[in-house]
Amino acid sequence: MSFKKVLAFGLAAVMTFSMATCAFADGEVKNANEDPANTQVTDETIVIGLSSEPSALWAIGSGKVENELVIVQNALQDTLVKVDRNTGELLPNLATEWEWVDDTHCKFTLRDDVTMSDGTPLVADDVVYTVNAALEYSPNNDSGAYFTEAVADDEHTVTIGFTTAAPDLLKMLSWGNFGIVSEDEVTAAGGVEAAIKNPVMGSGKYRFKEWNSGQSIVLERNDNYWNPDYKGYFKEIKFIFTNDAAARAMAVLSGDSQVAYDMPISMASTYKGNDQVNLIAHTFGQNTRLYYNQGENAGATKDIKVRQAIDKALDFNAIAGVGTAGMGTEVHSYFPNESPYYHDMFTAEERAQDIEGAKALLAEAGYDDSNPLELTIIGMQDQNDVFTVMQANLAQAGIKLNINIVDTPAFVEGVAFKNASYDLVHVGDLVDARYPAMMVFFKQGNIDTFCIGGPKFTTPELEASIQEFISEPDEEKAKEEALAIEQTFKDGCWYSNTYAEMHAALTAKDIKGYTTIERGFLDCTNFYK
Amino acid sequence: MVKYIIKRLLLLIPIILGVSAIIFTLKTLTPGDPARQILGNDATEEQIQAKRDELGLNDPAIVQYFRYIGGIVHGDFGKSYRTGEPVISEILPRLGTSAIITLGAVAIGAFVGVLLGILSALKKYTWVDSLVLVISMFFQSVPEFVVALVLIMIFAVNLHVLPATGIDSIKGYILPMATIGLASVANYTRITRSSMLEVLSEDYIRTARAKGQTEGNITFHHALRNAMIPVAQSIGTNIGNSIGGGMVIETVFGIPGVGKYIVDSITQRNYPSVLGGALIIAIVLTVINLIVDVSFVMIDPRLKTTIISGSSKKAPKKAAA
Repeated sequence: MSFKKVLAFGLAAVMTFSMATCAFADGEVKNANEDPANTQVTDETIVIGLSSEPSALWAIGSGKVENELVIVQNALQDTLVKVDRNTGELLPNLATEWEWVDDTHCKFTLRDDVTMSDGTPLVADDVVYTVNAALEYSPNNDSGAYFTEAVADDEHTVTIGFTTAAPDLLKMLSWGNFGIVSEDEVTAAGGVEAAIKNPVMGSGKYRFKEWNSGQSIVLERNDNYWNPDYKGYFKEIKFIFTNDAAARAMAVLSGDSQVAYDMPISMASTYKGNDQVNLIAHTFGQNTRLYYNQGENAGATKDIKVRQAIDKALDFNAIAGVGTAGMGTEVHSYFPNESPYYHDMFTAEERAQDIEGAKALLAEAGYDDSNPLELTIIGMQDQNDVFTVMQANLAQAGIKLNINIVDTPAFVEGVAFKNASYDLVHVGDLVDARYPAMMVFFKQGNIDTFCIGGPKFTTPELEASIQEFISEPDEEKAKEEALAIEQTFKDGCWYSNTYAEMHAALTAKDIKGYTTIERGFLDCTNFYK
Repeated sequence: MVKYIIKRLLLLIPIILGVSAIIFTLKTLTPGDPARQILGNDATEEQIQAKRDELGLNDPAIVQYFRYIGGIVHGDFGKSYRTGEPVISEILPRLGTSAIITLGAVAIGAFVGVLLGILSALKKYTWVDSLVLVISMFFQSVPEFVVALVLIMIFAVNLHVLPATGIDSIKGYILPMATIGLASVANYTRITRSSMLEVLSEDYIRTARAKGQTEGNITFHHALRNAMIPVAQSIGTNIGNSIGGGMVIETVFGIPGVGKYIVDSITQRNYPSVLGGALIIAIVLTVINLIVDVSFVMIDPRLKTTIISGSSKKAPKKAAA
């Protein structure tokens, strides 16, 4: 080969790289839940790239609530109620109506035209079986922890008992892990153990077809779906598993898949404006915040002046910009901006960075700058730049900050956190409704036994206020109680709000209907062309 | 020869003990309670303790270790914490996929590397020689996952000729094989080049030229065959490297092989799966190296002395020039 030919080959290669790079230009970003549901059908298959493979496909039977499990199960099994993701309103689904019998018992009336996967009609005993299965196989997680019983009043009426008074427990029943199945279906699948891997059960838009371990899970459209106007558009949904986010994205760009789910928001700007894909950026139902340790073994952050100094030194606008790749904004409340309990707790002036004010507070507190503060990061390892900004902000005020990134298994296990000493910890809390599990970091029981973050401190008054807020049946009163709790947080500088956590996804340009269910999980049943 | 094979197979025992001891020690030292991992965040302390008892996690580490080794002897590599399935039943189906990719990668690496090595030797000290060196070193220096993403960008995203992920069709194997194979090109190129240069300077090559043999015949018939012996010997080593490379590449391409299984298990702190995967790879590697060594002895009996005795002292000395 002559030198000229080699040169030509080299230039061709460079051009190929350039073409690939040029695909990324400016353009639109969509939010989840923007597109209306489709009513058409096709014989095509949609391929969805997930970041990991679920270990089971039935949450209640397996005792697990993995993200990918919920995404798949949501397509297979319908729930009693659902929630409008745009308004937060509770909507009928398998149940047409419901009524609280007392603080902890709710009576549901079921549809009479729903057919389960085995062709039998949905009856109240199916709900009773599902609740009992949750109590037996998932007593320690959200799937079973809040039930006491379920009683069939007649063929289409069932009363469910809850452990505590909390009106928003009904919203929890819309979660994918609360899909209703019948005992006969589970038996036909081979029993609970087998049904976890072979979930041919439920009354959802799709039916389980096959699971090639390590490779794919395939669902097929339920042509007997009880709501013919909202059948799945695609004949089959095929989930594939690619851990690497860049590879998931390239699979969409190449046409091998049509959806790349769970992309880090930090990668979103790379695909912003790419004319081959739609970029979807959406909030994840939780705000992130920086908690200050005020527990028994806390160091400098036990002093409110030090906490306030840190709060003043931080540039929240910059932190939110980095944490959301410029697609979100800082938050001024414990609750997300779209929550009915949201209050704008801070003025722009209060949120502005004030280094001199921070230095003055530190001087008043007699802060010893020879000992660096320790910041622990849980489950947000892909947002290192956020913590670098925090480190730089605090350095301006004379605070040295060490960043400790803890891996997720250690986070889940939690022992490390019970024993470890941190001054600050950055985590996100689920706050999209008044669930009994909300504000977990402020409950003494959790602090004593299994505390994986938070201020490691609470007061009996605060705990009582939180309980009242969660159980308040009057929505307007609940809003007032939320405001009072937030004022307590603000007065004591318990934490600093940072930003609403965001996630991203890519879809092929001709794919519409990216919608989400609880916690921002993908609803794989609404896609259409 | 039989004694040698038995000796090599017996070497598996210290290898298994060594690998398992290292991983078991790491498992013991790493924070994280498998019982809580299995039962979830909300399990009570009593449930955690009961699970620890059931799994034998409350026993001393040395007792746990020898119980595990006892299980391996009976083919029991434990159960996955994540799925509850026996580890061996999860790994075996993936072994075939990994084997295909590894062997394909070795074939691609050897083919390209040998071609470039020959070219480099024939054009020694020219710009072609330098270019070959640069290209081969490039693929060795750039991390494999970067090469993988670039190949996906070119062949899947831009040219649409190969899939970006998965192994639904035979085409799905090409990019992973090429990615891993290209990383070993430099090794084969270097060995082939130096071996070719050595052989090309031998007396019998000069004799062949004197007898009027064509350069093509001399290169491919006389020189290449003898130059290939060290290349072939390096294949065993490269299989090991390729299996290592496969751990990352299977993850990038979403391929259900042993490598991805181990990587997933590491991130999930699924110790029985990590341990089982690592041990099975160690066993496979040892057996492959044994097969490679034995087959070369059969192909070239002169190697019997170096391979089987493990010494080159008894190898026949070359005649002084």
